[in-house]
Formats: sequence, structure tokens, C-alpha cells
Amino acid sequence: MFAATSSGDIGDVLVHAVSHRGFNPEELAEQALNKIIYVGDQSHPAIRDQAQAFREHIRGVLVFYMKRAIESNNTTLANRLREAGHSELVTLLEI
Amino acid sequence: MAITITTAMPTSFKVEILKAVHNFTTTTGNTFKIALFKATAAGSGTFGAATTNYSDMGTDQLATATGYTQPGNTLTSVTPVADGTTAVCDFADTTWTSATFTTSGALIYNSSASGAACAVLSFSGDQQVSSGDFTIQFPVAAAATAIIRIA
Repeated sequence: MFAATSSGDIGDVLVHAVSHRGFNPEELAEQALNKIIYVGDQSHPAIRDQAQAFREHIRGVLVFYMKRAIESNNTTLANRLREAGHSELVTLLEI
Repeated sequence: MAITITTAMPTSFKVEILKAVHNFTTTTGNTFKIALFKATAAGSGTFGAATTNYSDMGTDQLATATGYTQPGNTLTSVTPVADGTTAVCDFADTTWTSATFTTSGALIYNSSASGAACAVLSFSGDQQVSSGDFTIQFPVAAAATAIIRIA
């Protein structure tokens, strides 16, 4: 007689919410890091420390380039506003 | 009365897997959506393993307003893979922008299969957003963490 056992499970989601604004680069970097680097509870402490150090390094890189992306996009938006004759709105972009 | 939500894999979903009802393959698979429940005190239903379908949400789903639109956001599915001996599913994170609402949980369902429920998610209390962004981030697609896993 054969018997096969199996189980199904649902994982835990994370909920992120901010009010009166969108997410900033630091918050988005944290969300990205949750996807990029995962260290299991059973990992060896040395591996965990190494992963944590790598996580902090990647965090800095992500934040830097996300801020650059925002600045770059604002430059594009500013040019579109000027071309459309709305130069006064450019100040809202904080350039 | 209040809404009671328990994070669970619907029993009906387990049966439907064996009947080949669901296809999580990227692009060519089914369309999966995620709908949000109202705040705990704003409804009265009980949701968990016995939930079978999107229609079960009834009036306990957030109304279409201020950043939320019924029947919820469409999810981008990642083709299931094996992690060791466990099959795992994953979805891209989903965000409601410029939103104002309070929610206590969510239902993932298959809109290609008449709204068959796939996962009931409790937020362990009310989560609130006001004129901002609300993101549900799915866990890493690994044997111990994935959003839907069959061991």
C-alpha cells in the first residue's frame, strides 16, 4: 500500500502604507531588499552577518540610484513643462 | 459583528489544483486578482479555509472609491518553480496609489476560473492609508516563505 503526504501553505505578506505622499527612495530600497536578499532563520551566524553587510551595501547603491532616477525624471518633466509654456510649474519639482 | 479573517489556503483551492483549474504560468496562464476587505468593524463575514470564491466577499469588499476599484488589482504571476521538494508560487508586488481606505485583509482569486479563491490573507488588524500609496509585498518565493506553496 502506498501513501503520499503533502501540505499546502500560505506565506505572510508585508503591507507598506504611507499617507499624504508616495514612497521615498529609502522605503522603496527596503522593499527591494526584501526581494533581493533573504536570509533564513536556520542560516549559520557567519553567513547571516555576511548577508547583512551585503544588504547594507546594496541599500546604499539602491537609494543612490533611485534618487538619481527621480532627479533625472524631474529634469525630463521640467523640460516638458517649459516646452508647454508652464515654466512657473517647474518650481514645484524642487529642481 | 465584525469581519473575521484567517490567513489560509482555501480547501476548495486544494481540490481545484487536483482538477487542473488553476494555471499560474506567466503570461499564458490564468488571470489572478487581489481584492481588499473592508476594515474589521465595517463588515461581518468570516473568511479563511472555508472561503471558496470571490463572490463570498460580498459587501465586505472595499467599495470602489478613493484609490480602490472593484474587483481589485490584477496580479502579475511568476511561473511556479520547485525549491527543494516544495512547489512555490510568486506574484509581483501590487500597489494602490493615491489611495484613502482602511483594510483588514485580502483575497487572491482566479478571475479566469469564475473567481475561485486561491488565498485568504489577514493583515493582523486594520491597515490604513490616506492620500498615499498602499503596497502589498509578497514574500520571497522559497520553500519556507512563498505566498503559495505545496510541500
